[in-house]
Amino acid sequence: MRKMAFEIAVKTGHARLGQFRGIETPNCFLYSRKGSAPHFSPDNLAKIPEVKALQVPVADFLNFPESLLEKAGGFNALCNLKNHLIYMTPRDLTSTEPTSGGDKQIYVNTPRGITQVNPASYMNVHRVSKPAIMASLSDEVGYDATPNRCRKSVDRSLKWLDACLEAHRAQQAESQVFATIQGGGQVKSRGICAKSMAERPVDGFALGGFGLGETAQLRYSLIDVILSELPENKPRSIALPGLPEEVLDCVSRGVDLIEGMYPYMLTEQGFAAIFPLNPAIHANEEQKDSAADAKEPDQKRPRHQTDPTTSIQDAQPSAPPSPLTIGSLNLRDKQYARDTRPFLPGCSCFACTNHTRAYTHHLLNADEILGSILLQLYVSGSRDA
Amino acid sequence: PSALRYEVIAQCKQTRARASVVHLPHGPVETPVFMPVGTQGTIKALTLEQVESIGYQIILSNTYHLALRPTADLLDDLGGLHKFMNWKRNILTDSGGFQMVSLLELSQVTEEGVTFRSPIDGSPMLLTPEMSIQLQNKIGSDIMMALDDVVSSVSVDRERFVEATHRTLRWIDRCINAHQKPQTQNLFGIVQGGLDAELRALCLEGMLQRDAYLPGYAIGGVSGGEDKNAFWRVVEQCTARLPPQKPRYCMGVGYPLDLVVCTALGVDMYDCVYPARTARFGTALVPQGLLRLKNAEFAQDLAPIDSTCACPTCQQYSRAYLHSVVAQESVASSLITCHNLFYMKRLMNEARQAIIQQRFPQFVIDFLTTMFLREDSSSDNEGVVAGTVPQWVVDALAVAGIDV
Ligand SMILES: [Zn+2]
Ligand SMILES: [Zn+2]
Repeated sequence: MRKMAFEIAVKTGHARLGQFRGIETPNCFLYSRKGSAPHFSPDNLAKIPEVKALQVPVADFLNFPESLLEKAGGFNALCNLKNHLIYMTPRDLTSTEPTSGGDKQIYVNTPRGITQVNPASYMNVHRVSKPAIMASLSDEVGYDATPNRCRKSVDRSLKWLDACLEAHRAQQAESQVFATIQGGGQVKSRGICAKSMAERPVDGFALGGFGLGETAQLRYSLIDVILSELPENKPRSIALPGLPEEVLDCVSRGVDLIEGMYPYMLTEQGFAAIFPLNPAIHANEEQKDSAADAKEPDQKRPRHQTDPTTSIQDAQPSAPPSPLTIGSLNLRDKQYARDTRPFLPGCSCFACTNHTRAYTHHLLNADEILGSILLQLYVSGSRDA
Repeated sequence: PSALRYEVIAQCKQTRARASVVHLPHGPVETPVFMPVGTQGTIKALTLEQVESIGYQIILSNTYHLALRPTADLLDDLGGLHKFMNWKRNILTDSGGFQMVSLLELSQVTEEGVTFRSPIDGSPMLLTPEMSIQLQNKIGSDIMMALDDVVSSVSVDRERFVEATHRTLRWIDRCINAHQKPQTQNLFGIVQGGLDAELRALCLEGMLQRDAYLPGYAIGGVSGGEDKNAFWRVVEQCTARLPPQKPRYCMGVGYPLDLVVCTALGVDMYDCVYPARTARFGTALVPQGLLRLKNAEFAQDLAPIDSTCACPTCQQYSRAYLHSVVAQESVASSLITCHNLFYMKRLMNEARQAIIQQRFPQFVIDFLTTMFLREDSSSDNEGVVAGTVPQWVVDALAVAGIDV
């Protein structure tokens, strides 16, 4: 018998502070590739203890031979992720298109080419990989799919969820199952899907089909409809680019877990977010800095100036932020060539305590991997002094 | 004046091998030592914390690359390369000349210096001995290399070698005169002379006349793909003549086998991009030779790269995992680079301990036995047939005092 996974400690408005398998929610699943956070060897991953769970797309499990996963005793053991929870999902976050599929399967890209994944093969990957959490296989459609297509995506996703649950029972698996809710941009389909899935014996819910170009208005009206159909006592996860403001908007509506690409996107483009999680501590510091150094136009004031618990309450739906600019430094810019400050003055993360903006600027411009490692450490790591 | 103290800990009674400590401004360096190459102010794919935790006490950086980016002036303004990288231990920089001659097609050596076209805007530029030293003074390295006239070791033009040998001696005087910080930075002279014993002797004698200004010496021009037979003879000739109370550095040498042979001949310091570069292509160094992790035979192999290795990679990852991510994810480069640099450090540590305990000849025999007289086929050694120690190794070690 699996133990109760989710406990809510505090609720403010729709937002919840909780605990899910040792993860304090709201929280993020860190984006990973082929069993590691991009650029991170284990000692680097250990430098960001906040990261407790990794999102792994099914394509990445398929990168390893099934027999190898079985022989190694699962994905955690093979990839040396002994201290991290693995969350298996159908979706590759790097793709901005819905997962393509048909009546019986989806198609995923692997290093060996395009591979079909149906509920049976998906659950076989689950059997040999032993993830801690899995999202059910689903038929994903974007916001612009026709009403007919959206209905079909709900039918298939329900059918596939039942197949996944049956296989899960047969495997006597320990993992938690999240039902993946689809239905595209159709409010009605979304509601039906959420309601039907809430009746199944699942441990949580994954909100699929978002981050595919929909407007913020449509996104949040759909999320509200979906969440109104879901029970309070189970965690909800969403895959999104994960810009800081999107995260706050989702959390304020009652989403607990974010499968975000934002840290990785920033890192790959040479940006460092200077978006303090506890801005009160940093406000003075930053003011001093901007007074001392006026030639920093990129360094906008963080938008959410309040304590995170109250900002959850206060956060209002906002216009889509311009990607990758809010509260971030473009460290490739030559204005940082002689900047001997850390990414975020006062921050205690590895990157900030050891290296300067000038050094990282040099590494990024020289295409050295260490530049990406430092950025990723910073972006994924602690921001608090 | 010098910012270096060379302390011999042990001298092998049978060979020329010695274990020593080179005391430098940023701490001690135990020899024999392999120096990893950090071309652009970073060891590729590793954090400096990882490099330090492997035990490295000195790394190499390239003046030419640093002068282009982030520039020597910037490094000078920000307090030098150590501070810029946050690397608290020692740094050796090359002169920049070799990089130009090897990287830039249109470079040309004249009496004044090395002329070349700027890789940034194509404009004609000149690197003189004075400028090379000035750049290295600004970078702030613990050991600086003199600008020398490098000729490819496989060139056959003897006149060119004669000219280069004499010019290298004229340039060493210009380097010595240009050196502004002999109290905090050490200038090493480089012995050139190609593969010609007479020219080597001439260059050696010339350098020794400047001994008062040179805290250490390098053997140059021996890692350009020349015949191994010629290679070891040049090294042997130089170590026989160089003063025993100063460090000897064999430039650009980095195959494990070469390190063991040259250590027996009395060399203290080495550098090479090979261990890190080969790691990025998926090849791991092991006592038996090389492990090419891309090979299909490792797809299901849950053993570590080397079961005798204590590195973090071998403690945590299997050959099968590395096989699956090699050449796809940058983390594979990090993991295999970490192993290879750990392997090089361990090899040098073991050689050092063997010298100190007066069992270095046996260490060499054991090393060769593991590498060449083995039966398994899971590793290879760059085309060398298992079961035979190469003749040049046998010959070099015979002169060093070891019967293979
Ligand atoms: Zn930080
Ligand atoms: Zn190892």
